Amino acid sequence: MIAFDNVSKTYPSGFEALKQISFTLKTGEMAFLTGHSGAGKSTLLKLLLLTERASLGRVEVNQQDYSTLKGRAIAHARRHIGMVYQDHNLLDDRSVYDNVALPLIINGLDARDIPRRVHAALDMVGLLHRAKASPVTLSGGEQQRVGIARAVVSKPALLLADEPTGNLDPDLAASVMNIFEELSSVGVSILIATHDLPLIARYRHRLLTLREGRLVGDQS
Amino acid sequence: MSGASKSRSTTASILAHWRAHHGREARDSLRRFASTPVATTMTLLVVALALAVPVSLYLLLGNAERLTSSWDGQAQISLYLRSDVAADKQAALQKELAARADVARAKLITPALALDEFRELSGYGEALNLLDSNPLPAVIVIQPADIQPGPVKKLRDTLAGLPEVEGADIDLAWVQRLAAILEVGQRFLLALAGALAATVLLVIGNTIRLGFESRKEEVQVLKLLGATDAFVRRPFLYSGLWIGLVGGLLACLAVAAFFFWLASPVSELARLYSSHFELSGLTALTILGLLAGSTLLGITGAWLAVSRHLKAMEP
Repeated sequence: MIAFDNVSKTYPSGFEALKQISFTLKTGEMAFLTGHSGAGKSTLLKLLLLTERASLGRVEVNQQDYSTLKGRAIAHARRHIGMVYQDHNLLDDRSVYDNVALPLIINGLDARDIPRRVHAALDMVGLLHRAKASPVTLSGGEQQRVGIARAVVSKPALLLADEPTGNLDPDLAASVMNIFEELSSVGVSILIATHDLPLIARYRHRLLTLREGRLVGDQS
Repeated sequence: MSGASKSRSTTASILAHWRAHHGREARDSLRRFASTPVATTMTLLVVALALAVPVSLYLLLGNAERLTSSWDGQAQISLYLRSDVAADKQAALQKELAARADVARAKLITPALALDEFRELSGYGEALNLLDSNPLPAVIVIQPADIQPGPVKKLRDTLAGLPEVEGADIDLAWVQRLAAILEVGQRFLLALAGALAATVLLVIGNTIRLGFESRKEEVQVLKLLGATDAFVRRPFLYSGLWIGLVGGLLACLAVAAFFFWLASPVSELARLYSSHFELSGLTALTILGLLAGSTLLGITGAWLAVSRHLKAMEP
């Protein structure tokens, strides 16, 4: 699903965020990506979301070489990826329901199919009863779960998460992880950037460790 | 594995989706304007004024052209016939010329008629009585169908070549001056319309740009969710469309008010010159053209403003 081949990323300022990274993530595989802040986790996710491009090397997602994608093709590539953000990235001027429906509207899904899919996604994160609420009236944990519902509503093949349990208490974190494991069992590839060490210890998935832009550990 | 874009998409459902999406965007952009009434009103007034000025001038120039076309009697050709052309031949020639497509009217002035006219106007009546024969030639006065300098001159040259014609004169200078004045007016109007169209484009572009800045986060989220540039651009294009359309409607109202205000002094002026001239204002065609033009300017301005920003967001 993901293939990094000798990927380096140098920002225009000269900062080398990633140095010669190589790894693959298979379909249905679930992995943690860890490292101190500044180790390159965010940059790696940005390369996968096509908000930054690799300076050297080759990034491939879903058998697509990312270096050649432009305009419309970038938009279409992003539709195959669900992203859960640490800061939720929800739109405050519309309801929870409308936020979760956005990927479906962008994908051009038949309007009659949208309510069913949105309700299913909200039900999965246990927030069906808040569908009409505005995101600002929700707690941090609830906002995070709306973000997850939005990330999975279009059934993406790859799910990326940036500190998804950062603002959640252990019980909620466990329920979020259960959702991820369920998705993984039906074939969704999942990469979770986190420095929540207890979480990593508890779930024993593959662990990729970054230090100063280098991949220094890859334990299964 | 279930693909993200997999869905039962028939042509009908795509169309229905597209319609629903556009309808929502159109309504949303209107609601956004309602939430910033002062800024929106100011933009609309600038657009309306910038459109009303060239449209008013265009209509005034049209009126001037209509007025001067009623003076086309000035652009006439006098054909002096040979003295050996008999009276019945003169009348036949007049009929023949009047039937030509490039001749509006042809009027025969026989030597006797010309002498009478001359006697009346010149005050040399007594002296003329001393002449034992009429020295004046028969004249056919031609009003060309086309009063542009080129065609008039061409017609003169053609008619001068007729065997019965001794000479042909036109007051070319007058025709040329008239055409030149109108040409200057048209050029001036064109330049002014161009400058004001650019103003409308910039004003709408700037308004849309400000709207875009305030919604940058939303645009970023949409792009990360896989929205194409076309999808992101759409609500802004609708904003441009509404500004252009409503600005155009306001401009129509302003022009109509201006012409209403002008109509009675103009007809009073015309009455003093014993003319039936009446100011003609907006026609349905002008209104349609104005609205189509202003809407197009609005959409183009929005497109330019948004595309530049979207380009900057590319990785």
